[in-house]
Amino acid sequence: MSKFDPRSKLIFVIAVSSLGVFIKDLYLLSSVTVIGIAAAQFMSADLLKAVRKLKSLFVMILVVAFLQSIFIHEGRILLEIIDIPLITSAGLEKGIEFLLRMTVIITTATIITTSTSREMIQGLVQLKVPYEIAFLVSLGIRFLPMLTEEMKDSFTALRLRGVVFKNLSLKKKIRVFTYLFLPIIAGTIKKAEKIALSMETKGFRTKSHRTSYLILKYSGADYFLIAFSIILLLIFICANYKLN
Amino acid sequence: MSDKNYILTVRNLSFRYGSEKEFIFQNIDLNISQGSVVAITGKSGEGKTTLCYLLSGIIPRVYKGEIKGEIGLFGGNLSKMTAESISSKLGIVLQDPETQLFMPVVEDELAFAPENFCLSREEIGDRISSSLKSLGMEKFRHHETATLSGGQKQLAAIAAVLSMNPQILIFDEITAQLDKNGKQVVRDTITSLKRENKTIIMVEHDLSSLDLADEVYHIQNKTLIRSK
Amino acid sequence: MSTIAYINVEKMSFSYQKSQFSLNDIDLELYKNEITALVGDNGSGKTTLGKILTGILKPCKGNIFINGENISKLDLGEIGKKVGYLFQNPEKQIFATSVYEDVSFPLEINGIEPNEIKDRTDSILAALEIDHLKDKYPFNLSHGEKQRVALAGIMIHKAEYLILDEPTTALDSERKELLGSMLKNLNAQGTGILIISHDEKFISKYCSRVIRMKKEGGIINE
Repeated sequence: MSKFDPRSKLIFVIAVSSLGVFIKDLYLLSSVTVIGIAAAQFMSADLLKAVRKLKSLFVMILVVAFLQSIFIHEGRILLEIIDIPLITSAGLEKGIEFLLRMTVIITTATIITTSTSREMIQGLVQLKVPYEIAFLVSLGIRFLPMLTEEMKDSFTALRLRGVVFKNLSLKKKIRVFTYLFLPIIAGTIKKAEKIALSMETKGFRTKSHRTSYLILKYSGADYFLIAFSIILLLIFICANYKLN
Repeated sequence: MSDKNYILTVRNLSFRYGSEKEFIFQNIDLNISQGSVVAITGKSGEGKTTLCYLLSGIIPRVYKGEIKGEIGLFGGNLSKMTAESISSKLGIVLQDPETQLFMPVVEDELAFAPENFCLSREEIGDRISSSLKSLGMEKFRHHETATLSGGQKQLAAIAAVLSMNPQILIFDEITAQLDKNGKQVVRDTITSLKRENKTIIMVEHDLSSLDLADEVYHIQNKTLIRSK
Repeated sequence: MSTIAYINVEKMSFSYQKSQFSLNDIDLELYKNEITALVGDNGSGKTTLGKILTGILKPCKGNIFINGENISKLDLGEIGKKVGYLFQNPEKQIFATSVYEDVSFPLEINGIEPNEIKDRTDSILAALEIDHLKDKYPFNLSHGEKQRVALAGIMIHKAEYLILDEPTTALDSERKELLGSMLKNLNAQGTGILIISHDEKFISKYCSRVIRMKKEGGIINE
């Protein structure tokens, strides 16, 4: 699988996720979702890993979709219990719409992860984003998994201190969680501080610009992807406009 | 005695952190000449890392506190020097490798400082290669930093500072996480850096590396005493 | 000499998802009457093995038994009371705003009597020479001091076995001796100890048995 330039990936992701947010027609939205998933697979994004890591998020999405389909009472009634309409056609549509939008956003986000943070930074810099902001964005994105790792590690370490969490009363469980705040927050802040210190001692931001060992160059495949993204955007926006 | 031959001078240095009442050390004097290897030992908590922070300008730039006395670097007053001028001459390797590695791949890590210095791609490539070579880490060039073992991370952190090509290196207990091979690699590195007339300040618990040092100091009871 | 192994590893294999590194078919017995060293070069898997023994990582194949119980059936909290684990970075196991509270809070959560909590906490703080730090904010202490706080926290449960990951890293020679003689005392009183380290001097002085990790992912009993 030839590697796409992170800039072309970024353009594609912005195009597809914008469509995912603004398209109103359900059939068009489904097509966008399929395109998003297909592209992610093509670029070897680890979708299964994303699903596993975001398990709780997915459950929440399903719940919201389900609630939407229950509480919107327009259109034909599809399911009712003792005269109370439970699921209507409009409700079901809204629920599916929400599900699709979330799926598009998440799958396209996984495409970003197929580039390393250094490649992403360079992509942003070559797109004329000031390097400080590029680093900020990239380290911020790297921070999130760092934070969840910290939380997992802290909870493990705390339980290894002889705390059998599942047997505790609710009150004690809450108390245990308060003990976690400190190391997680203190640990994360300290880490951020130390990383900033390390970057400073290596001359970061001492000059107005910096050179780069990594230089990104577009390949034919990248031009194709960019063109494809723009054409996709235009087609779907026109189609969406026409159908409304 | 003129200060001209000394690359780093410390006069009557006392320091305490902003939140503390007690001074960590008081009235310390230290003169380090170019090309020498100086070791600083002392029990944990006595202020060795704090001294490293002071000598590299990290205090007062990043951490605050009350500083009395003066530190001179290359004849200039350290407190008046910019981060740019300090980092071009002085590199510091700290204890915890986790927070000194923030790029996804070892090569990116080693390129970081030279990129900040606006060096050409060619020069950056040369520096990466020579840093890796001097630590025997060539095969780790494209390795993910996150999946290196603790000791490998420390060696990568050292390589990243070597690629700065600094004239002064401060090593804060860098051999702590290293196995016998790693410690030998560091010993060899210090020996070859010495041949290049680099100045090295190493803070160590491990008394076995003290033989490499020209001068050994000991921090105890808030003062610095020379023991070699 | 007694010897049923306190910790038993049977045909255990493990590999990380993203790397080539793996542990293969490991059989291992650890006894309470020994201070054992686990040595090996950087990257040989010492810390990984230590984490598997405490249930932090789950093996892909094989079984681990602590005092006859299969740890796959035990909660981490239950394992922690039997086998104390000291992380390489002590900050990972510090949770409270004072040293005293950090060392004692699990006892409080487990409903131990306040008097007993005070006795046990005071005595462990004294044994590790950190009683003068008991009201201090642990995160501001030096690395070596934090390590002692973390040690106090895991030793307070009177665990029957301790696994220490690089415990001598930030200790000066005086404190290493203190640690060593304390571990020897504990061992004499019946606590088994596994020290993961490459501090050759410390190991030869205090460990009666050495297990070496091979680069290919196996072990040699020395």
